[in-house]
Amino acid sequence: MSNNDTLDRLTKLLVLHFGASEQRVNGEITFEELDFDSLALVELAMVAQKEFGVEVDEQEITPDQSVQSVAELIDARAVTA
Amino acid sequence: MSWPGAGFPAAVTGLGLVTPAGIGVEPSWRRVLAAEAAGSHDPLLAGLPVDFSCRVPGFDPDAVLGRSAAWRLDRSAQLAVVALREALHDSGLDQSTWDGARVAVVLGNALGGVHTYELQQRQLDSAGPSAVSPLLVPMCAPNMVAGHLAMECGAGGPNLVTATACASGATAIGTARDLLRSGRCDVVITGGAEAALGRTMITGFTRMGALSRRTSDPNAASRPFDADRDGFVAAEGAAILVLERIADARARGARVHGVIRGYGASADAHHATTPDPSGAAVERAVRSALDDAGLVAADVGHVNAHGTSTKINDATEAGLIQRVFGDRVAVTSTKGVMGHALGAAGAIEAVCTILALRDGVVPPTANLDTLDPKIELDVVAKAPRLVPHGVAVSNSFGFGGQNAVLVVTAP
Repeated sequence: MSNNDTLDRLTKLLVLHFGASEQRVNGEITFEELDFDSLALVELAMVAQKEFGVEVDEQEITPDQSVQSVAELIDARAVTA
Repeated sequence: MSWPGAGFPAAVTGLGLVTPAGIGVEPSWRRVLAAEAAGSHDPLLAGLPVDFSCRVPGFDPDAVLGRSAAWRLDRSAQLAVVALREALHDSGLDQSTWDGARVAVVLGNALGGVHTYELQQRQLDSAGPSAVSPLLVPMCAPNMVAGHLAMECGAGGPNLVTATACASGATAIGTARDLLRSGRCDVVITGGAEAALGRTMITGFTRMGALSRRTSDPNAASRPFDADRDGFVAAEGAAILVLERIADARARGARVHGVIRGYGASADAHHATTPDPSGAAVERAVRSALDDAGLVAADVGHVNAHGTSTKINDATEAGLIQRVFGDRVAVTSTKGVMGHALGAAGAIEAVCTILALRDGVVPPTANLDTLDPKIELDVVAKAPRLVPHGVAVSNSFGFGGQNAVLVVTAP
């Protein structure tokens, strides 16, 4: 489980940086469903790294992943960091 | 004797402008007619020897394009897409019914996404490779702006960018007309776009000695043909024109704003940045444009000059205009208001030339207080002049000695 704060901040990033629809973004939705292409996923790894101060490899975020699972990945990194 | 293709009329059925004079054709044109210069201090250039530019005022890409589209585009493409939307709406063409495979895009651009490149270079230097955006290449490549216009409207025909420095926009329009004349397409979306106002590029232009140093009064810095001119003012902007064969335009009942009637091009073959002072090549471009239009110098009532406000361009160009047209044409440089938008300039000025013919008026050259005594031309200053004329010429000359001239006629 990611904490709600991480999910909220990630959601905000998806809306403000990538222009994802605020109505559509939730924990369950996948990046494919949000129309993220491969370049957008690399950009996401890049901006998430900056926002959360954790290492996220660009290959770790895939189109079929949900927003929630990336929030969990970030939290896991934050704990081990 | 003119050749069989001479005088081919490419009807201009749609116009779009995003310029330092305003967003939209009519706001931009009103400010050009009012000779309200757009130069101002630029926060992005603070601390540099030249700290001013002409930016598009109040351009908010997220608001007009939506964040999901805007973040993926270099500013030059953002400006171009907004101008495209205006031009297509103006043309009345229906993208849901047109044959997209017969719609071409030919756009002028000089410097691509150099500002994006500059910012990403800084990221690489300060934070390493993982901080560099994966969009760096698609945002930088100069061809991308034409690709984005195709994506925006479903134009699946020939698609290219012309890069002839400050003549790029005019080269694009001339090439677009050639493409239409060849029969390879039925509609061409053409024009130019540029947004290269980054610190590195402005410093480069400064180091060449091309820019005005009038930091105390940026609004008076772009002053084409004036005795006190000292360089150009860098600008950004986009202009889009929709071209069709005139018979097609008439058959669908489209409004024709004007006609691109002739195009001439030449190279100085002289020096990287200094124009050939003899003006022989630019004169050849003007004369070949007139030949291509099937017209003669005496037919022309108005010249929209390249008129950059540099010492050498304006002197060389004045000599050429004098030799070809004498002093009986009404000359203007709209760069006095808008500065020099490089690869977009030729297209912005083609639109201004079309509007001048439409309204029977020649806009004044902003900041022209004292005509350079060595220039023997009738340069319009202070106020718009009513000039009922049916034929006008728009000059564009680029670094590299690349010259492009358009002949525009009333519908």
